[in-house]
Amino acid sequence: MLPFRTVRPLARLPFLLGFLAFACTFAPSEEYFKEIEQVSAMAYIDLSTYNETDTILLDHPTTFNFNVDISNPSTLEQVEIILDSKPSFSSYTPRGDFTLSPLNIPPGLHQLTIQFKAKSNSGSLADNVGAEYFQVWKTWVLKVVKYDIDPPQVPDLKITETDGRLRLDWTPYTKKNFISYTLKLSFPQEHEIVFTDPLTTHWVDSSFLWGSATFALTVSNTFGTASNNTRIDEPQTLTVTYDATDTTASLKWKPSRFYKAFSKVVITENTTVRETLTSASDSSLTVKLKEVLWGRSESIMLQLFSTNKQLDPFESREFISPAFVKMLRNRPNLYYNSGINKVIGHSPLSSLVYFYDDQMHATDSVTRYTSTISVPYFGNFIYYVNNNRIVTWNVTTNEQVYSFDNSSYTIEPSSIHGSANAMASYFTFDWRYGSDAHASEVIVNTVDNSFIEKTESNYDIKDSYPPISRILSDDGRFSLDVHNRTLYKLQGGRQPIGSLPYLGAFFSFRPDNNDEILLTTSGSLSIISSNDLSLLRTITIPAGYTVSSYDPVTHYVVCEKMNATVVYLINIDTNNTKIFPAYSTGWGMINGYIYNYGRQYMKVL
Amino acid sequence: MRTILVVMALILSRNGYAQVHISAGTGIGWFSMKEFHDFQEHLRSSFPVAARITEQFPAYVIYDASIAWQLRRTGFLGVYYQYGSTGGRIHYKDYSGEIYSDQLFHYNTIALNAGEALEFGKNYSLRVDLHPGATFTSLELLSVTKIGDQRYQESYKFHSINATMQPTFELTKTWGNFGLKLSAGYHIAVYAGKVKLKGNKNAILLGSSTDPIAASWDGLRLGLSGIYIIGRRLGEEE
Repeated sequence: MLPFRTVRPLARLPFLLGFLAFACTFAPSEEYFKEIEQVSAMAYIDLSTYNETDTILLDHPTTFNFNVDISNPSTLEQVEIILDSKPSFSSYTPRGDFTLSPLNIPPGLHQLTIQFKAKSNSGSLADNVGAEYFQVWKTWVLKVVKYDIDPPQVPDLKITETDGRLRLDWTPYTKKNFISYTLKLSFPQEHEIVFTDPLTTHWVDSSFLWGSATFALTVSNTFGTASNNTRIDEPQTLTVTYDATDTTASLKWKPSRFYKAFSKVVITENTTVRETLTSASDSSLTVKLKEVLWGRSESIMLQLFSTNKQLDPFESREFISPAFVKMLRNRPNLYYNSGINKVIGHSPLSSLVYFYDDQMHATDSVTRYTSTISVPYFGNFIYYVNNNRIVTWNVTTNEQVYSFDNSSYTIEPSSIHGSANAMASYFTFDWRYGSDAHASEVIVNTVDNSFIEKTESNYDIKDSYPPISRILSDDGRFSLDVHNRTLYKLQGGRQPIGSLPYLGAFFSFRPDNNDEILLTTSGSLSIISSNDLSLLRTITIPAGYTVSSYDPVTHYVVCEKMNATVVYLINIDTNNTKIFPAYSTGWGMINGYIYNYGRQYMKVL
Repeated sequence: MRTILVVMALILSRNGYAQVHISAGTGIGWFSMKEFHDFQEHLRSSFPVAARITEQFPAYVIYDASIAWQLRRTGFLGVYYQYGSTGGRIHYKDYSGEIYSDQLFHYNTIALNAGEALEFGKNYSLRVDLHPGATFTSLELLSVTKIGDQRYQESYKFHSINATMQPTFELTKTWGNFGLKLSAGYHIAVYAGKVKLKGNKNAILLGSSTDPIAASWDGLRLGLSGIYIIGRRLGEEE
């Protein structure tokens, strides 16, 4: 039997054993240590041009380029741009840029930090649980100054000549918010040049020589633009002095200020190059013209070439006329009246009747609204049509006598011929008779309005000859019916003399001697008698020439030929012949003056 | 315990047996923990680094104690207690820190002393004991991570109950009332209970195959105990 005194100690045994057990409970102690070398990294931070400085001045919006790197095996995780301890930009690439603007940062000193975090990639426990990084940073003092947001001021532009070239200067823009200068040039074609360097404040143009050009400059900054423009006008003038005595032309022009752009001067007569000058300082030249001829277009052209072949040359063309050639105003039709011994001109363009002296100076002019006048060689009358009436104008007394009213005809009197004895011939139409015109060919005595002849007919426009005025001799003794070449004698009526012989086409009654009629044909001028139509004499005309004019004062005819370089002047009484240099056709002669279509004139007899 | 001892003493005294063996000793135990080998491997694979299993449930010291009454000349009956512990470790360490996971096991077995004793020679006896009983397991899963001077630790505690037997041969030599006992047995889990989280019986520990795993303490037990004998041996004159 177990005594009770032993039970109490035994009851404590489990507690004792438990204590011993817990005191000797298994506790793991083995460890596994892996030898890993710590990564020793080389890193750098590059901030564009600020690597060598510790202070950055921020006075305009600036874009900074950063570049960071770390040696293997470490790899970049994130780049942060920190401004005053506040991250303002982050990137997951090693290169990039960020922009700081003084508009967004208060003026003063700040701290700019570029910091990047790179995973060590050491393979360690800390690396594997994402707790082992390299943190690399670099810090700058950022000095922020107030940013000017005003647009640029309008630049001043100035054009000067510098070393023989055109130079355009403009006021520089010195603020940091500069973007560009844009220069727009108007030549050789409109184009632009952009300057992004604020220190560029001039432009030298090596090609401008002459003419006009516009330069427009626009200054751009971050907040706007300002423009100004200037213009250069360098007009070139060519002065040509022609000496008709030796056919030399003296040319004068201005040498260019911008001589470095000069290439050459070319002088061209018509289409033939006569001279080429290569000296920029040359400004005159005398050249003997080889092709000048009255009546033909003659030009002398100056061409100034720039070194820039894209530029068209400056050209000035002067047309040459012989210096002694003058010209009548308003291109009048010219007549000679022996009654007042004057050349009379009528200009339908100006409705003026001129009276010229012997030097062809207009000494008087009278307004006459008419399309045509008739000036007989003899007497004092000039005939014209006004308001359907024939007006007989006595140029000595200035009296004007109006004939009867022809307004019963729808077409007023046309193709008027007047004579020294106050007779006039003309024709009229009257369309009121239907498709066939009622035509009237008339010779009338303008003093008593009696008809010497009045031939009326129905004029069928389809198969009839149009009505033609009878041609009156200047003295009024003869008339010619052009339809049938019948010559009439007008004395107490109208008596036919006969038909003109076929020696040539009727040219005119000889104005200064109506007893003679001039007939022309190729190669000859026949003079026949008005009284009996007999051939009085024949004037030989040079081959190919035709008679274009007869001067009743000098008794010379003008013979001209298409594209010929001379005209022949032949006296129809003496056969004296003169040759005068004049080009082609269109020549007339009056009172010893030869004139052309444009009424340039020259005294030749 | 006191009540048990008193009751057993009364029972034994009524049967006329006076000898009581009280023993306490220590020894070494080997532990199967087969399912936790897989569990460890599974756990290791989840480490962020290539950790190693540095401890895998090694044999370790056990302690036991018993009190037994001799019921007749060869039979005995009593109470047996055994305490054991082992553990596992997955570990990794380098210059940057350390990470490990410990699986700390211990158990308490309460069993009966029930067997037969064979005496041979003077003062020698050989006993065979089945030790039927229950084993109460405690498990602590400890995870520690040290990075630099930072330390992160998590701990979860589990428990389970197994029905066990431990057939044991015990060789005893006595000197008067004292003696020494050499024992050799094999721990067998007749039934292995699920390992449950303390405080939440519905939370059980799963292995890599997502099946519940059990703490298997199966294995050899070797022990050496000191014995104190109270009372006279049967057949001896007082």
